[in-house]
Amino acid sequence: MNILEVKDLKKTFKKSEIIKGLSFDLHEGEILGILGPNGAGKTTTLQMLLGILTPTSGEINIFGQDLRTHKSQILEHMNFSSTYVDLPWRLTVKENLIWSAYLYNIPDRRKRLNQIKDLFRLEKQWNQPVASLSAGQKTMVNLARSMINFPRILLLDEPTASLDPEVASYIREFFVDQRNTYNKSIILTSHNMAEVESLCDRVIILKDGLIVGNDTPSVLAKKIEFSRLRLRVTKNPLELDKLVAHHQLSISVNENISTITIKEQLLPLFLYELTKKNVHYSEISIDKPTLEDYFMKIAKGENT
Amino acid sequence: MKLKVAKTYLRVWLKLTSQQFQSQVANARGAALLFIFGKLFRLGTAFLMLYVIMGRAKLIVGYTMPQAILILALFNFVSNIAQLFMRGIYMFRQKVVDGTFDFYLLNPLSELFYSLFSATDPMDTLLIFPYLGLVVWAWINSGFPLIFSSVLFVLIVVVIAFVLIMSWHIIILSVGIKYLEVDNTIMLYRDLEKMAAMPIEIYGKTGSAILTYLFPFAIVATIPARLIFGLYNPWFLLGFAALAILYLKLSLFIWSRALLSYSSASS
Repeated sequence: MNILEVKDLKKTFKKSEIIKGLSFDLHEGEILGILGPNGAGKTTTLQMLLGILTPTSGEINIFGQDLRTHKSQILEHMNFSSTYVDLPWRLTVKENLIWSAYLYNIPDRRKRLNQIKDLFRLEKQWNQPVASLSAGQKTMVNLARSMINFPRILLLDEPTASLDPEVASYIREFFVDQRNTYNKSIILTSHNMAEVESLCDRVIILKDGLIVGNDTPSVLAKKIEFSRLRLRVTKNPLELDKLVAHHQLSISVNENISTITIKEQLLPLFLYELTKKNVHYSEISIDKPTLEDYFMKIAKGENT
Repeated sequence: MKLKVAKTYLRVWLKLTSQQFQSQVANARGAALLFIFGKLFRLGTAFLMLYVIMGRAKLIVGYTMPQAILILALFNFVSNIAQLFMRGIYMFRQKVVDGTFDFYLLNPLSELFYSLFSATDPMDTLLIFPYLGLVVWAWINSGFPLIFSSVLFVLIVVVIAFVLIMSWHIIILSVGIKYLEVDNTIMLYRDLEKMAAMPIEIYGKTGSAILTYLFPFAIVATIPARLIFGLYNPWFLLGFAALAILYLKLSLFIWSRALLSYSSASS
């Protein structure tokens, strides 16, 4: 079931069209990633979904209601965590969260605040002003604030930015658990491709205000035909060069490791031929195409 | 459902106002006292001017001294109520620049409610009472009875005036979004509004007509005073109510157009 639908969304600033007609949807219980090179329109899209920016044209329907006409009702059941919206910095962590609880009309505020404090490990910072917190601590407070109203849809912009690896992993697990347990829908932007690949059910790739890819991370990665074969050759390196030239492949050598870019279908034959030509190697690894490869290709402007 | 929403708005407004009050008491006691002194001083100078004028002529465009004082007092009373609720408009530019307005847009409450009413100034409340006292004193001394129907009409005018003032404030906020400029627009508005502190007849027929029908600042003081003096048909209030609704709709349209050009503090 679609919980969010975007139809032909456009945004123009001073005659410059930033978003050129986006259409996509978000299913209930889905984690959707929005990726794109800098300036692709990710933040503008998120800001329109949140109601910060008013679209020039197009429709945003959330929970079956038009965002333009039912913004307040919709935002009661949504929330966000973003690095581009500052929290009131003079208030303490506790005061910030109390204020959010007020805004969302949370019935048992004390109970909810205690839950949030424990979930986001905020015991130590509880009475500190937000201004005195580190970047990572502020991210945690932002994430905590985003959960205060039990949102059905969460918009997360770089949710693990500035978090240490252990805390980042905890947060990733937390959101997956939220999705699995409470069927929450999440839209996520991140420059951490591994994070997007592991968290997202589906990914939208934006470029120049248009969607250029919309599929599961694995399907998008498969659009890249080439894998990377890495070998530490110990015998007959010239034979390897000949074989590479014969198949018209590209090769680079760094610290005795030869990296060959090769189509996946050709790999078994290539390895067989290496054995036949008596090329010995002490190390081998095959890097299958990843979402990052796909992203890099899009960012470089190559067709996939 | 609507009652629940209204309760939420009321609770948030009360919380914001109490925070504002606490902040003033804790951090800016001196500034608050100076603010009240400044306001009373300004009112005093306006009275002095009236006194000087009245010293030379017994009537000012047909109004006696207490009647002119009533107009001035009504102006200050209504204008003060508006400022009491909408003081936050003076800080609006800063809120757009530092991203606070983004925060308003993201919340489940109306961004317009926040922009207009998030900084209610409790110091203005203290001034309501002297202004109200002055209105009552001038009313009694103007020679017209303080009767229920007149009080009711004046209250209706105050509500209409509040809606009009709110509409103009929304237009000022819209300019603030579009051009990141609030100070000069407010000054322009305040100067126009101030013209209504005196009986509008002093501006001649054209000036009066502009201040009654085009920029109806006359609703703030001269029109309620005329109602009290029996110089105005109360049915005309319906026309002013319609004008106020028209202005409100226009201001909301301008607000929505301004939001269309808003590019967020982070962009």
